Amino acid sequence: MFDLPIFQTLLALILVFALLSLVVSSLMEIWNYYRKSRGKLLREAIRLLLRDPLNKQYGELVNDHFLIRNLSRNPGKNPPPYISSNLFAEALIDVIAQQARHTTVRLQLPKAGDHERELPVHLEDKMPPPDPKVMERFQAGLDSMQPSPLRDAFFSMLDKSGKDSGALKSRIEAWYNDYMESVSGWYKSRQMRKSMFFGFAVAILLNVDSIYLFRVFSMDATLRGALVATAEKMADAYQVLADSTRMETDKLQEMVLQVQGDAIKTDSLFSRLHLQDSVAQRALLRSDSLLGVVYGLNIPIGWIEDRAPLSWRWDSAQTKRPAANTNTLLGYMEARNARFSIWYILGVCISGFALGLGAPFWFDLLVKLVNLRMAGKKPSVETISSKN
Amino acid sequence: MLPFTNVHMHIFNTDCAPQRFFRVLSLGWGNAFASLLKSALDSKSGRAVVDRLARMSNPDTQRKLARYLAFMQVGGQSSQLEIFEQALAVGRQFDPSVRMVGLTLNMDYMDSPSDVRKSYETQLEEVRNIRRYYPRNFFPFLGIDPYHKTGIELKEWAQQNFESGFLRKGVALPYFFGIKLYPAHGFFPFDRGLEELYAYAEEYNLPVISHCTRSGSMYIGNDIQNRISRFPTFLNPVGTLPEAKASQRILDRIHRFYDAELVKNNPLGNNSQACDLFSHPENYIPVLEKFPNLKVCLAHMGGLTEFLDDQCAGKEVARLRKLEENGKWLDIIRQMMQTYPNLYTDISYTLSGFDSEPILKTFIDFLGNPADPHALGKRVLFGTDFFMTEQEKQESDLYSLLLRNEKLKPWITELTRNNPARFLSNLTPYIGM
Repeated sequence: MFDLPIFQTLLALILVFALLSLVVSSLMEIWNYYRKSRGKLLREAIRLLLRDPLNKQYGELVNDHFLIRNLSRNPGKNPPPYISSNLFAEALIDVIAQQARHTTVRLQLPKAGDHERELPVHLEDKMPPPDPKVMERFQAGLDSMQPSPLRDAFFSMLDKSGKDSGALKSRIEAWYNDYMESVSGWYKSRQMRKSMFFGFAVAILLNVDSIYLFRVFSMDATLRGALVATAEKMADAYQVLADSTRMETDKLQEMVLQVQGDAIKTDSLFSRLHLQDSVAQRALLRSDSLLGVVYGLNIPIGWIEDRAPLSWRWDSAQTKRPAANTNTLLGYMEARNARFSIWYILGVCISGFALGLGAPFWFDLLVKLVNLRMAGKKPSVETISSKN
Repeated sequence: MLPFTNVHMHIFNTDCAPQRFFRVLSLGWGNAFASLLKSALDSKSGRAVVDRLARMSNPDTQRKLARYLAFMQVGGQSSQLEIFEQALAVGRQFDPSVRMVGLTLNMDYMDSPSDVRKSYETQLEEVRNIRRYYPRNFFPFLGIDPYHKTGIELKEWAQQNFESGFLRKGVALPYFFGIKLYPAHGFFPFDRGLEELYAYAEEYNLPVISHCTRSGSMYIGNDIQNRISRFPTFLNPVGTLPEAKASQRILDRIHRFYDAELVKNNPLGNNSQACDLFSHPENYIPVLEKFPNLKVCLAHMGGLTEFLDDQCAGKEVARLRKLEENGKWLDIIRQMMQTYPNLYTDISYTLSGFDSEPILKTFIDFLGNPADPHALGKRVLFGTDFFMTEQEKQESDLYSLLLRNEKLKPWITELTRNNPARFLSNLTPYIGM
């Protein structure tokens, strides 16, 4: 059953989705890089974590803290994409402790008429000790806050840590790490939505019509055979990868290129572009190389005149043509005129949705189907004799 | 020689402004896209796109957008410190020990509901640090809004800010030196909730600078009628005769604005004309009557339009003047300064129009005779209104417009040194510290 043409056609289609999903991932990588998406989300997440309408926005102050701000190559403009829990705790303790500096030196202003002669009186009794320890300043900073849920939470952490700075830092770090797990979830769901968008963009830009591909693969045994062979090689290579590596787009892309015996093109048009930095350029070069692989496999995608929708332009001249036999590949291709537009749109939509699901999904599916197929296959005579 | 002082500049960045800030442009239905516009203008590429689009719009919108693009260029900087340093670099070209009065603005309540990225308290935290870094150059004022805190609570909050400081060479220096009001954000200067604060400021010689022009930034919420009561509460309902007369005129004006449907809740926050009621100079008469020793500066001299007659100021201004039943705000400020010796004004923003001969002439007439100790020019202060003026001219051009103007030569020292020193006498002990 797993050697039937329909099964092979499915396998070929999944391979196409897997390869093009990698192109989608590359484009997203470029987009995220230029939009600084990760950094922006982290900045927003820290702002929300420390949101306190009754006091200052400590999230903003932590984000603007010298230690955090200067993590970025372009401080202030681009937020850092990653902040360690250690650094976060350091900055937060510092921000709260800084408040003490702004409130503990109390003055008594001279009254009107005395101003031109007198400086404000410095009230010595409210002065902090000459060299207050960080925990004292932290406590003083908390004391200067308006009562609020955030202040209560900080007081609770302070109490539980026995006023030991190391213990307080560990508590803040643990809190931050737990929160960051949720933030990763937000990031993934945002990426998912973005992935759908880019999936549709690639499907339209490359004119990927899944229904058309399915029909072509089912009718063209040579093409189908070549694609199935490639799919098996890809599945083998994918199974060798560690679980964590399978989620890394660049590793998957390298694997595909290796299987096809290609390398990242360095003579491409993109290599001549003077991009701001190498990250975007690498991603572009990888996409270009992947497209090279896709076209090398003769997958019928792209905008060419004898393929829908450009072929529809010739419909008026062909109206008198006798009805083609759609059971043959040539006949099917000839018959695809404007009357097929609904099917065409549906095909592109299916492709967009499929590409948005991401490369790991398609590679996992590919492996499962290849394994099923291998399990169902009769072992060849050589295989049996070699085992014996 | 007394220090060279710029009494009016801002350093807040666009994070301190509400998301729908661009409703202040009063673009009619365009106000529906105010949030989108701010998001776009916050980035360099967004500004470039808006700039391109603006070129396709009508000349009026094009002019408005071009102004705000320049303004956003500075305001879009990542920190207040960077903005201050930019202003200081220009100021130091003209006087190495320039003192700058940074006016903080509480924009948390200029929209309803409040939606600012960086709250006012957060803004102040940054301002305190800048004051510590530049104690000789930077003298911030505390922005006040009675919707933030009011009455005794406001006074205590302000007191806490005025009476806290930092140590430098063994001397305690305060963070804040005066009060900034921006009534157009939705309150009257004679609001009863400000009374305790005024009393405190009068007692401790803390000067007040208040915005006084038509248009500019304003309250952009949908519920303007909640902010302008037909019968607002005054500081002193049975005050002196001038106060009673001014109060009656204020009430009549509010009723006329209501009758003309200029004060009307609207879903797009088009409150431009209604907010003129808050900024009107006569609103300070009840305050000055009740607190005669309070030093108040009505900033901008009423604005550039108030230097022009009805024909030149435009139909809209002429219509409003008719409705207000008074002449130019500049004339009202002149009359009030003649009556109240502690009333000052400054040339911030208005300075950008000094390259126009008629405006310069009006200004020189306003100043009076330099030899006269009672000339109004003795109570006119120099300020640039950085970076609001980026909409009009570069900061260095503003300094040049004043300092290199031959006709203003007799007044330069007064405007830039002597008058600010009198107005900011509470800063005197800190000269050289």
